[in-house]
Amino acid sequence: MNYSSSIHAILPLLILVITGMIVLVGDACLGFWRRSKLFSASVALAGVSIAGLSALTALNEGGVKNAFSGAISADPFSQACSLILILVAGLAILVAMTYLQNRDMHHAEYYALVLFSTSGAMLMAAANDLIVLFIAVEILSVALYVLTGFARTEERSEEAALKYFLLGAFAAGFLLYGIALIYGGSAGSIDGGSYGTVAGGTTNLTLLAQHLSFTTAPPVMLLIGVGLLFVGLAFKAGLVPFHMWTPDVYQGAPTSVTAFMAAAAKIGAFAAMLRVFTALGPISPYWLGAIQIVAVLTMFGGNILAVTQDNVKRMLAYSSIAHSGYLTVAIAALGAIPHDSAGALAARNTAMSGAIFYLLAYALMTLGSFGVLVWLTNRGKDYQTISDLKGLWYKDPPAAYMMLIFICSLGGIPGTMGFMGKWFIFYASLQAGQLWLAVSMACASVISIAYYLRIAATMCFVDPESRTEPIRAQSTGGVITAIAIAASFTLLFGVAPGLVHSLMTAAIALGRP
Amino acid sequence: MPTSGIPNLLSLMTFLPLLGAIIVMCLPRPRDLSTKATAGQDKTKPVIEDTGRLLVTWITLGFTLLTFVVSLVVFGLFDSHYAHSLTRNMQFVENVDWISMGSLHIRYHMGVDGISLLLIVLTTLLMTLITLFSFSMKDRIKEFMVFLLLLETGLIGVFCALDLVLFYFFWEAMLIPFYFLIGIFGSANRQAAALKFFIYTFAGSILMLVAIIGIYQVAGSFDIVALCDPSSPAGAALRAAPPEKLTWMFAAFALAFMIKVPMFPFHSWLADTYAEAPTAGNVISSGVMVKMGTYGFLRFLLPLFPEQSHTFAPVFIWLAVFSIIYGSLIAAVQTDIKRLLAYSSLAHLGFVILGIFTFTRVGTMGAALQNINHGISTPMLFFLVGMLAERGGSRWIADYGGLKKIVPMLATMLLIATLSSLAVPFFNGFTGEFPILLGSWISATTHLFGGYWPTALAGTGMILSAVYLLWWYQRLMLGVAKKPELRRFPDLNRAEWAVLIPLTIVIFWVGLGSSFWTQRMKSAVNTLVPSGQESLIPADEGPDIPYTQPVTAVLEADAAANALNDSGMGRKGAPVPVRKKPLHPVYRPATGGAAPGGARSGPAPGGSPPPREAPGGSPQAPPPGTPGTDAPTPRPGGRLEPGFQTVPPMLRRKLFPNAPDRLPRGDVFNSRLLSQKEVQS
Repeated sequence: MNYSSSIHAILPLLILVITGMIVLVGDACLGFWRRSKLFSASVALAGVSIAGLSALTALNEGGVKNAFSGAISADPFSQACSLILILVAGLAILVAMTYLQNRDMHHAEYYALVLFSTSGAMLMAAANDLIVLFIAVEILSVALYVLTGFARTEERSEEAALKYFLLGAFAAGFLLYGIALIYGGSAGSIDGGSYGTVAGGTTNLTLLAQHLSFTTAPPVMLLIGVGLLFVGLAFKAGLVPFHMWTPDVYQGAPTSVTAFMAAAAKIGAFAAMLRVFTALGPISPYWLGAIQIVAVLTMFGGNILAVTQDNVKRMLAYSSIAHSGYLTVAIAALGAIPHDSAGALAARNTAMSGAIFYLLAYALMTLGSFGVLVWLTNRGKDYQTISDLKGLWYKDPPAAYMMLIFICSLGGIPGTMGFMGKWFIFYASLQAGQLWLAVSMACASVISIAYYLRIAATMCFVDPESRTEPIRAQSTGGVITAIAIAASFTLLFGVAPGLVHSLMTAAIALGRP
Repeated sequence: MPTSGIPNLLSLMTFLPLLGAIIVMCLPRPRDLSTKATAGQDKTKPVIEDTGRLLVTWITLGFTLLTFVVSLVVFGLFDSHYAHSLTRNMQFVENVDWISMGSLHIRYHMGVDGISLLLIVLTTLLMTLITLFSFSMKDRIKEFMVFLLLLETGLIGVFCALDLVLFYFFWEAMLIPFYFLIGIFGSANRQAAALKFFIYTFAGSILMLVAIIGIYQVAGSFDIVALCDPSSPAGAALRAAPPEKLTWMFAAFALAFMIKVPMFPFHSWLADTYAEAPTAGNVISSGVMVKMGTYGFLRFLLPLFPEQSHTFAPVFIWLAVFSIIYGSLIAAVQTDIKRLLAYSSLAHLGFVILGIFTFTRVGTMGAALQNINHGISTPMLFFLVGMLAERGGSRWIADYGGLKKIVPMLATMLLIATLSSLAVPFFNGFTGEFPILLGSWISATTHLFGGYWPTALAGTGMILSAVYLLWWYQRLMLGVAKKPELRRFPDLNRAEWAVLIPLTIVIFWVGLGSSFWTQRMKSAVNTLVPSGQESLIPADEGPDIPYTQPVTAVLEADAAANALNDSGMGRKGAPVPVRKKPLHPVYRPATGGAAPGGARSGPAPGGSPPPREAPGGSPQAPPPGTPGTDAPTPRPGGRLEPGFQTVPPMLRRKLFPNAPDRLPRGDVFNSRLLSQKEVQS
């Protein structure tokens, strides 16, 4: 594949990066740009829309394009993930428009950073080489570190940024070390077949998968490498026991950043995990147990810890950990499907498309619920603790209605996307013969209902301290648009998930052995 | 298949309240009237001008009434003679593609048979009455009405859905409005009660969701009609699944329904919820919501898992009996009016479960009818308790007393409701509980696992219910009014009469003319309990005795005109030969051989009058238009030992070591195949 078609394959990603640069340069050099408050946001939104159109076109074209000598794979799976990420970026920009104005920290860099980190997450989904994956993780993370500390004057934000950075750097070390060991471990493992011998190892996932399919007993070095790689990615996804940073960072970061980070970082991490573990499919008996244990720990850990929280952002952070656990169940299902069984391909497609649907659902409902918190900042204070929400139903009915929709979706009540997502993952794990994982997921989601309903109860069952509260006349247009989009998608796709069918079946490209 | 001429009648009925909810949601919020809410507000605007309140209440009433009318239309167009076991007697069927992606096919499949139809009419009636009752509500009336309408959509949907996923949608979506009804409008401890209720039901139903997906994985369909039919590919695949897998799925379904009913070990949410809920919540919950559990047993558990249902029947029978006695005893010592009714509900629903697991037509029909009866009498009791609480502001029994002289009308209505709940003859409760006991008496299943003990113990439940209910009535209404403020109670007002009169009419209608209701459920019950599985009477020995024979004999002894009419009709038919062969020794109860002879042919035990028309003719022969789906068919193979097919599969090998394993079910298959041929011809 020549160079220009390689560029064409990563077009949506490039559009985002270029828009980010335009925003940075324009804000620095042009006076009119800086004076108009929402110019950067509008340019960023325009860029996101063009990127979205380009991703949509690519998804419709279909077909697998290997760009840059197979280092990047622009297949429908990555296009679908890109599309979800672009939606997330667009909603995050809309949310930020309101939040930054209300908190008096409206700077154009914010939008540029959102675009950069989105491109990083998109690259994670498309990376077919472990080195590219590492670069993508860094692009995503570095931008997120800065965003987390964006509220410069707040100690909590700075603390969160530092914590995130230090732990993230540590995790990056794990990731890189794992990649190195995989490279080393795959070197000696080529034992004949039509493939021939390769002197060094490989970091390319396609080659790795081919190697592994000839291997009966993978070397220990390779397995350690896979373990370290998983630790690195699990850190980004916030899986127990690598979740320690999540509540602190989610709570400390500005709420609009939390909304974006919770969605984008998780999509990136899970897209990468899905791709890596599909490639590692031939040696699934070696990693399946670890994934299953982590999935159960994450589901129960996240949900049980969330029950005791009094800060809504922290509670939603633990809830996002629990949702990572549900997604990990889908990965476990992927590994548990026997390779040569009759329905293997169909079962793997179910798991893949279930995971993609759940990612979309998770992104919408998480963004939406944090978005409602952003919406409430127009009352002049940062709504964070659960007692702040007391009687919201009577003070601000539309916000409470919206929050209820997202809470129902997070809890998995029928009629919302969250329910359909859980449904697909149950289905996938039963198809893979993992009944006990499905049952533990069901039990974990019963626990989760306790704290989701606590939010609902506080909003609706308790009288507010005062029924009339001064509302600072500020623009909430951005966040309301974002919430309206998220809520309507949540309800629409919850009743008619067939509408995103093509998005979900895109995963089939990856499931192909 | 009978069609109404009006397309999508069921969808209209289901989503009409949803439309109403959306409209009411958009209305302006009326002012709150209670002193607490108006404390800080200006009272310059007189209450009478509050058009917002009028709009909200009347629009809600309009929508509930309209839904009620639509359900009556469905009831009127319902063909009670339509019987077709291949389609599970479903009428007004709507079946379109809903979610179709990859290997997943979920359909929007709605339909009603007799059992669900009556529950739907009950739902729409109760909803209308609740709206009427809630006109006097002071605070947050708009939210209340919105939740009420949303709840109605969910409830009707549950009873209409014929696709497992669609069913689950309604089943679960209904929880949210009910949670808010308790949580916002309940009494002091409402938050904890609402949460307890939600977590209990959610825990049960999410495991059911896993089981639903399990069924799909095994059988490749969510369609209940197909899954229930062993001759369809999906039904055959389900029955061919590994038994341990089926047992787990059965357990998940059973757990969800047992929590919902509730039955003994899972009942702890019931008393808390009933005690804290507002009157509307009590009425909906006791009237319709718990019926979702019993309906689940009838619609899903028994037809989907026939083998497992038989195997585990003793568990359910004994739990039901225990629920009856335990509920009655606990109810007797309650000091809280609502808690007492909650435990009485536990006892009464124990009867329903007992009836279902007798696997007799009598018992099943009794259970289906008792489902409706309990949905009439308990809500009426709750309405009356709510009216009392509105006057007295307390839900403790000790705060009342001697009210009969002060509010004679209310006391009379309460007596009617109490007697109905007591299952006194002439009242509706009797027509439900008596057939249940009868079914349990003649049932092979109860016999195998407990002789006559389950029936005997359940019978004491009827006595116990008299103990606690009459004592309760006595403490509330009789004696001397202890407190002076009781003397100022006003008697029933017009709105309250409007709520109570329809319920009273239904109580006596079911009590005196039960055949009007049972004939609509007959084909559903006959499909549910195929003739081959019926009680002690093996199919190859006697005629297919229709359900109504023994029961109507007793029930309609008083409604002379009706009974005469029926028996007159029946004598035109061919005389039914009397079974002379003695029972297989296995089925002779250990207590003595004298009883079963009577039990088989009529309701002899319990001192009830012998059936007037039992041996002579067939009094309740199927009407001429009915296709003979359940007509006894000659068995193709050799004769089996009598009674074989009634034995639960688990015990067959022990009792009949030489018999083939699956043959007796062929009886059922044959009759179904026959009906299929009939359809084709």
